[in-house]
Amino acid sequence: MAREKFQTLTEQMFYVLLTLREECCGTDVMARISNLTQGRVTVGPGTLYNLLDSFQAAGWIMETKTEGRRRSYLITPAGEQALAEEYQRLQILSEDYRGYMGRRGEIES
Amino acid sequence: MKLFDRQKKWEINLYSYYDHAGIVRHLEDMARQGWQLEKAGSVFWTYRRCKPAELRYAVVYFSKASQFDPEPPAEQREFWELCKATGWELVTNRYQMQIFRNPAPDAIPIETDPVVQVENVRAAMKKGSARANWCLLICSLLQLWLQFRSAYTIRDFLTQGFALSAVLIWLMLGIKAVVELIGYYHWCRKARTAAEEEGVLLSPRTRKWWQILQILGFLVTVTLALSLPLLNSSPSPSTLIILAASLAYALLLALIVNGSRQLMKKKGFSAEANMGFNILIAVIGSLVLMGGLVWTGFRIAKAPSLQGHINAETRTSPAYPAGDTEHTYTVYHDPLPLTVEDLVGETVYKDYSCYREIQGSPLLTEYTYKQEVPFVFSISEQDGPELLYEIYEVKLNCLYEPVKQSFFTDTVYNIPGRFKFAVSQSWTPVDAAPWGALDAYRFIREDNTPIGNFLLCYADRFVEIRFDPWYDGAEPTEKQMALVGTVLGNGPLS
Repeated sequence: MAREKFQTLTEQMFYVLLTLREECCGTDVMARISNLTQGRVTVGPGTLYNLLDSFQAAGWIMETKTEGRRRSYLITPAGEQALAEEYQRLQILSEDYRGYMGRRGEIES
Repeated sequence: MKLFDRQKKWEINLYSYYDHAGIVRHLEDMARQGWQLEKAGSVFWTYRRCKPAELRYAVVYFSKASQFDPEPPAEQREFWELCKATGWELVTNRYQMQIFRNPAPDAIPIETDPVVQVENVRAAMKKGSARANWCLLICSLLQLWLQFRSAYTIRDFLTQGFALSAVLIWLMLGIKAVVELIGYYHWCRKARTAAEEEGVLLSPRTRKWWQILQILGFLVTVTLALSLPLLNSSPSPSTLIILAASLAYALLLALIVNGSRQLMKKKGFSAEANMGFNILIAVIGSLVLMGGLVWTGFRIAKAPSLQGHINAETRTSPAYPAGDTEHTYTVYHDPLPLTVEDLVGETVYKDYSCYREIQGSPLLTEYTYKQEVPFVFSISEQDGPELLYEIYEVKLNCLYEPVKQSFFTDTVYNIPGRFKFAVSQSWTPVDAAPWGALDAYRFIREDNTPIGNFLLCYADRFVEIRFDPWYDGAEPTEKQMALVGTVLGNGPLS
């Protein structure tokens, strides 16, 4: 069954929003994600362009300035909220993992 | 299917519009063989000779691009710039499809999120190829419905080579659209699930065989469709003229629609203005050209020689009643296989109009013969008897019964808002032996009076003969019936 748009964020959506907490342009976003994740996550230019376009349409990011063909963006409060909700969801997953593995450890010992 | 030049090569594109993975595989193979893509056309793709190299290609879709854009819009250029920053150079683009090349073996892919990628393909297809296929399917169904609706009986349909040609072509286009749409939606549904649940991009199935079949099917259908009207037993010059006019119609319309679009792009009109004008010019162009076709039809109808009539003459009768305009009519002198004189001997009346018309297809041929008194306001004793007969020659055994049944089905003539009436077909069986036929029927009026219309069924043909007006209520003699059977039922027709 197809999920609702942006109901959960993919890894790349998450990092794009995260890096846009500071104003930057598309190429900077790609470089920052690569640095932040030490090359574990890469976002291709096509994916990035579409994500920026979709986030802007959803009101999660806004365009701040245009220099030639370089456009810079910044996250909006709505985007911050989406990012925070995703973080909470990941935290719940993480806590569930810890809780389950802890109980299993106790049983095994 | 490759056409060679020393430095250039043209190839027929064998990939569906959304088959990005198949196209990439093919382009990388071509680069290894020393051919780099230069241009992607609608049918032919152009390659230029290069050093064999391991190149990476990427096919992505930019849904905001349009075939009506005078120049690539700023957003599209921005997208190209972003790709360029990671080493991807634009090779060529075709509407929404953008083809990039990168010499670096470890280049970051342009698309890295399967969910976004699938949505991107969907958006591009929705605006481009899928929409075009839906339009094609609707047009095809509409045309097929019109073709079947315009034929009152199966005989009308099977004897019209042009109608059969149109059905063949539209059927082929409809099947093409259905197969493309099923293939695309099937991939799309599976790819969305795979992207969302497994995080992988499902490549569309490359069906080269289907594309080859499509091209072959297109060539065979067009050849068959064009030759159908000519495969008639004796095609008249009018058949060739209508065929040429129909081809000119299709070519001119394509030229007008494409030409106006290209011209407006060159002149820098906006995509919206260009698209609006393009639709308008397509509608007006098709109406004007259709008018031209109808005009051609009328001109042919006024020229008996073009319809294959030998020595036809045009006469003018005095105004009747006095003061009215004069009447112009045509008197034909075509050869007939059976004449009034053959049946009743020499008649006093000599000035007959003998009309013959042959139309048909490789499935069924209709021969119409009329021996009539040319133009009279009232039948007098000095006028000769008339003879009218139609013969339907069935070329395929399986069509014999449906054609036979069509004679017994009431025909409803309906032009919405104008008129609607049914012609009942009341045939009663009569003795077939004197006619040398398998079955014989006679037409019965609503008041149960038999008239001089007979339907005679022979092994490969049906003869509908009318001895009106002189035989109304009377029986043809045994000798006359036998002659009809010998000449029309079993004799050669021309």
